[in-house]
Amino acid sequence: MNLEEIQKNSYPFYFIGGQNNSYVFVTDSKISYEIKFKSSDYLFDNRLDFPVSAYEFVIEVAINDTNKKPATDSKMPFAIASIFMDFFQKNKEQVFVYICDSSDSRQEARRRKFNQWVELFKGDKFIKVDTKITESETIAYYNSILIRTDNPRISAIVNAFIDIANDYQK
Amino acid sequence: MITITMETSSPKAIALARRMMESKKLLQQEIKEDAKSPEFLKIINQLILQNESRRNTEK
Repeated sequence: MNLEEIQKNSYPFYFIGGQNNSYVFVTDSKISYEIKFKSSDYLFDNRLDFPVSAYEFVIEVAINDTNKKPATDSKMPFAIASIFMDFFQKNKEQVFVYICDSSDSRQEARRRKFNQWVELFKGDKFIKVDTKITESETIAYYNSILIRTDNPRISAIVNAFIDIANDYQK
Repeated sequence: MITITMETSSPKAIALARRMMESKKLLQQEIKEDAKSPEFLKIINQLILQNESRRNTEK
């Protein structure tokens, strides 16, 4: 799906900026969401000899006065995709990291939702590395990194991430 | 899109995942704090008006 189609189906959003690059949008049910992209310089564990603009992505309900759990909203994935594309356009060498919240054991559902959002704008422009990190029988984390395919250092970045996941020594 | 899928239980990956979860919790808390600011509420009200205007145009 191209940017124009995504924006047509999206809610309008506002870039607040700040240290953690905040964006906001509001649904037709008047539920406000905030998205942040926080610089994550620890991610590559000093394995790369060049700087990487890596960002952790988080989305959270900021205001919900409806007293109801947010229902499925068909425009929301488009709003998230629009915001991702807006931020990605600022620098093609950016790397995005998403970890699914595992505090309530609903991380698998969150992973499926994240994949649906990414499906909207992926095209052939991105490489996604999905990792399931199992800590114990009951604790597992799902994380993903997204890198643009035209990032000139893509193979070094992907290899560094795979090395960290597998605990290979530098 | 090319997707690479991995599974791991390496201590390094677990430590990284825990650190990311801590960072995520801090950001979630930051969002709750943002929502209390008058500037934030002003932006939200503007977005609500934009949504209404857009819905009226679509009718």
